Formats: sequence, C-alpha cells, structure tokens
Amino acid sequence: MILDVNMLNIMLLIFVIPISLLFEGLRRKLMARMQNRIGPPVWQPVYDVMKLLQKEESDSKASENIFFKITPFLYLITTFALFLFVPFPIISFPFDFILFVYILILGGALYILSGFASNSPYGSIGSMRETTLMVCYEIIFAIVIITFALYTNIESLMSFNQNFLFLKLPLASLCLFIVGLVEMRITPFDTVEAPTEIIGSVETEYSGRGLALLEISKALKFTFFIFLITMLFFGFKGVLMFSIVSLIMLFIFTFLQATTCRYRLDQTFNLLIFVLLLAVIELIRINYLVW
Amino acid sequence: MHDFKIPIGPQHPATDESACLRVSLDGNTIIDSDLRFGYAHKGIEKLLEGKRIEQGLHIVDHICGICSVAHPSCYVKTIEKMLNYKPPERVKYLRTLASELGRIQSHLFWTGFMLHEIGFETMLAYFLRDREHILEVLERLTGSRSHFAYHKIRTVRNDISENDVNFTLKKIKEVKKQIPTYMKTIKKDTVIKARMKDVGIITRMDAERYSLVGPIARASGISTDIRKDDPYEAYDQVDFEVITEWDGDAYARMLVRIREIIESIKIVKQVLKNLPKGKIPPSTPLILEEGLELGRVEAPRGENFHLIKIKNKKIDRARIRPPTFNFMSIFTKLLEGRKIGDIPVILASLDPCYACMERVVVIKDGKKEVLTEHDFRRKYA
Repeated sequence: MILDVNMLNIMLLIFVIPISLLFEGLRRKLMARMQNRIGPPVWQPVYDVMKLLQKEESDSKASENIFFKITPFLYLITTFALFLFVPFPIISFPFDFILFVYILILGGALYILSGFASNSPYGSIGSMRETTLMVCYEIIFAIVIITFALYTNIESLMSFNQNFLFLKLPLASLCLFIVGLVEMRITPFDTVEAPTEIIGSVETEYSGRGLALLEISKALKFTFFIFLITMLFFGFKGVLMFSIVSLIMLFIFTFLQATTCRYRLDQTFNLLIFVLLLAVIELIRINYLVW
Repeated sequence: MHDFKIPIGPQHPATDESACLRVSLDGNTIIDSDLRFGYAHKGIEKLLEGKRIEQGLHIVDHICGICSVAHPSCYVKTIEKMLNYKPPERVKYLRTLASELGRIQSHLFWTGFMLHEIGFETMLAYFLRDREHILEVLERLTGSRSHFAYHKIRTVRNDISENDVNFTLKKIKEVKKQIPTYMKTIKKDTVIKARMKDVGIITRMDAERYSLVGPIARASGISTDIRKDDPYEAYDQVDFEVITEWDGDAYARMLVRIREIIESIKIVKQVLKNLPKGKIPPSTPLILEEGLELGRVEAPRGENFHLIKIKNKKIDRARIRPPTFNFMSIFTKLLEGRKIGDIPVILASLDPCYACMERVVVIKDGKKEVLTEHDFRRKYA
C-alpha cells in the first residue's frame, strides 16, 4: 500500500465540503440565470447547512429507529471516503478501484436503508425507486471503471495518467456520463428524487442535523461525479486545468438540468438497460477487437 | 413488494391547491384512488344569500384568483339578462378584452405549471415571465393584479385610454413572439412526449358521458365553446377559431391550450382595432324586485354556469357550477392502472381549480364529509 500525502491532497480533503457547497451554490446561480431569475447568493447552501445544523430535530415516530438516526452519518462518511481515490488519490494499492466501486454502492445502500427506516410512504417509494435503478446503474458503473482500468492497463487509480480518454472510449464515457446523471439526480434521470411526484423521497422525514448531513452528502456526491468525470475523461493533473474543466462540466450538467424534463421510473429503467448493453459492448470491444 | 396507501395532498408539491387524493398502490401501479375535498371551502353560495345584487358581485369576484374575470362576467351576464339590458358596444368590447386577457394569463400559467410537474423548471420560469406582461396590462386596465373586479352591472370599472391601447399591443406582441419557440420545444422534445403522450386518455365517448367542457372536451375532439355556441359580450363580432385536437391525452390538452393562447391574442388585437368610440355609462343603482335567470360563459377552464334567484331585491339563492366540477368526476377513473409518476401529469392536465369548486361540507361530531347534492338531500334533508 502506498500513501501519497502531499499538500494538494490534504488541502482537497480539508476543503472538499466547502468546495462542494460552493459548487452547489454555483449550480443554483447558473440555473437561475438560465431561467431569467436572479437566484440565491453563491454561498446560500452554506447558510442553509449552518442553519439546519443549529436546528433541533423534529420528533417523529421514525426517530426511534436507530437506522434512521445513524444512516446520515454513515452516508456522509462513505461519500467523503470516495475523495480518497478521486481526483488526487491518497491511498493506493493493487486493484483499489474495486474497493472504490464498493464504497459507492455502500453509500447507495445506506441511502436506501434510511428511506425504509424513515417510516414514511414517500421515503419507502424513494428507496424502492433507488433499489430498482441501482440494480442497473451500479453494474454499469462497475463495468465502466473496469473498462477504463483494462484499457489503460493500470493497477491502481494513482497510476492513471492518460489524457482525453473519452475520445478513445466513447461508449464507456457516455455510459459513465449517464450513470453520473442518475447519481447526481439531474434531469432527465432524477426519478429517485422527483419532488413533484414523491415530495422529498428519502429526505421527507429528516429535519435539523440529519437533513443537513444529507444535504452535504448530496453536494459531495455531485462534486465527486464532476471530479471523476473530469479525471477519467480528460486526465489533467494540473490544478488549474483541472478546476477549469470541472467548472465547464458543472456548466454542462446545469445546462442539461435546465433544458430537460424527467423520465418516469419504467422509462428510466428501460433506458438504463440499453446503456448497460452499450457498456458491455465497449468492454468486449477493448478486449477482443482492435480499434 | 407490499401495498401502500399514500396521500397526495392536502400539502403536496403536485397540487397547487389543497385536496386530498388517497392512492392505493400495488408496487408502482395505482389500483384504487379516492378524492376528498373540503380544504378550500368558503361557503360562497351561502354567503351570497340575502345580499344585495351589488354586494353579490364583490363576493363572486373572490371565488377564485385565476378565473376572476370569468365569474363576475357570468354573474353580470345573468343579472343583465334579468334586467333585459343590452350594454353599449364599447362596454361589450372592453369586457371581451378583459375576458381574453384573463384567458391568456390562465393558459400561460397552466402550461408553465404543467411542464413544472414533469421537471421542466426553466419553462415555468419563462411562462411566468410572459404571464407578467399580461398581468401588467390587466393592472393598467383594471387596477388590480389578481381579483380584477372589472365587470360591473350595466358597465365596466375603467375605460381604456389611447396610451393603454398602445401599451397592450406592445405587450401582446412580446408574448406572441415567444409562442412559436415554446411550440417548437414541445413538439420536438422527446422526454415531454414520452411523459405526456398516451397518458390520461379521455375518449370522445367518455367526454360526452361525463359532460366535460372547455379545453379538455376540445382535446377529445368535441367542438364546444360557449363563445361560439351562445355568444355573449362581443364574441359574435370577432373572428376566431374553436381549437380541437383528437388524441384526448395530456399532450393534446397542452397543445389545445397553447393554440388557444394564439387565438386569444388574435381576439385581443381585433378588439383593440375595432374598439367603438364613445363613453362608458356610469354605474347607477339598480332596482330589481324579483327574477330567476341562468347564464353561462366560457371561463379559461370551460363552461362556467351561474343560476341566480332574486327575491325582495336580495339574492335568494345562487348556484355556481365551475368547470372543475365536471372534470373531477373522471379524474379517479383516469388514474386506474397508471404509475405513480403519472399522477401529477394527469392531475395537472385537468387543470383543477378547487377554490371554484368547493361547495358542501358537513361537519358533525368533529367528523368532516364532503357530499354531493343527492347524498346531502338523502342524509340531511
């Protein structure tokens, strides 16, 4: 196992929560500008989280459930742990990307658990939707990561050093992009958290600190996927180029959210099955067919 | 998967007003639903009883915020029928202008809201921006942005000046400029089509059986429009088309409403062009001993019906049937066998306005129940 501790890594780990909240604020601001609105200040998510952390939690039947209480913490920890590997890996050992995929799935499982533990019909439906979709998109994610690893012939994410891979692996990149949309809850694939259909899904029963932790985790996951896509697609190691490309990706995602509407659950599922097929084709292609 | 029973409302992002829809689910599919009202009940019909006719006008104006041109228009039409009074041409034209502007703002708001239900927030923002133009015009014309109170018995509240005519034309032009863009988006976007086509289909037969009115009937292929069938105000002097579509699904209802906006803009332009010269008559006290009359107008959502009985210069009984009353009977039928994701689409595509509709609520021993007229008679009369 190699520990690569330098200034950049540590700074990123310390400031990753403010950075993700800033990204969330930027997303809101950009969204508002695209919709002809002024929008909230860029630091609004920070104020929201600070306020929520100070508030007491509402007393509901669900709060007796131990899983309901601890899952937001665990969810935050698992999401935070993803930043150990992406974009500037700190820990490295052979085949660490398998652990990395596992951590992502663990986060999804905790999200589902908190929904079922919240004792609310909307939470249960949200968890049900997430379960249905997870069957599909986590497999795609795993296949895509393995495809990237096989193609670049790396043992761990630290030795990843190829630029502009999205031109060489177009199908796998497309699949990763779509999985990103599902995980980041961006239209047309934000079926899990459709507010006009099932209110807040898993977040419905949460309040105060629990809700704040969920909000932070959501922002972290959003930032994580932007970093991951920037890292795997473009592979820039310099901080400046990396930040610029990340902001461009943020703009693209916001633009997508502003200009599309949401698919229904069964439509999303059918589409994901098709995406799974694409991912498998790409995996076969890089192994047996010469480009 | 086990069965759920989930409440949609009274507080829910999918319902802009409060009503409770209890849905029984088998996994992701709806097997049964039950609609309960009574959260926006104001007792309008009871309030109207025993009031003077002029007082009644103010109450009618406050039935609903969106249809607040249609209700006074219908009330005034009914009273003028009783008086056997024919208003001057200029008053007729001004009333038509207000009615059409009211229809445009209602349809714009609805279309934005419909797209918001399927996650298209940007369109909601754009439609609200355009609705703002119409509201500015209405504010200049009537002096208010929500409860316009423009119609008065025998006359209208304000006359329109030459400046305001130009202002209206300018603003209408700005709205009209945007409509083709929206139409293109709606016709080309695959996700909108996937969500709205073949959802909540009302066949022509069902539409007739449930006596549906307004844009919903027109989307099922029934060419019904009170403006053509029973012309009032100045609708017999303007040229417009009754829009019909044949699919009867949520998408067709959307197309009907957007195309109606274009027709309404056409009417507004004609009205402003042909506005007769002259003065509007002053509002004078009216003497009406007795009478019983009914009137109907085309509200943005469909036929609006008022039945008013006057006795001893006071309103003895008033019956108001807004268009939403007809739609809600078919709503639960449309939901059967659909997915959860379709609930907001179907609900919004019917454009319900509960504030118009709420009538009888019986509260007894702390229990609350909402009854139809038939049940109410059987139980309590």
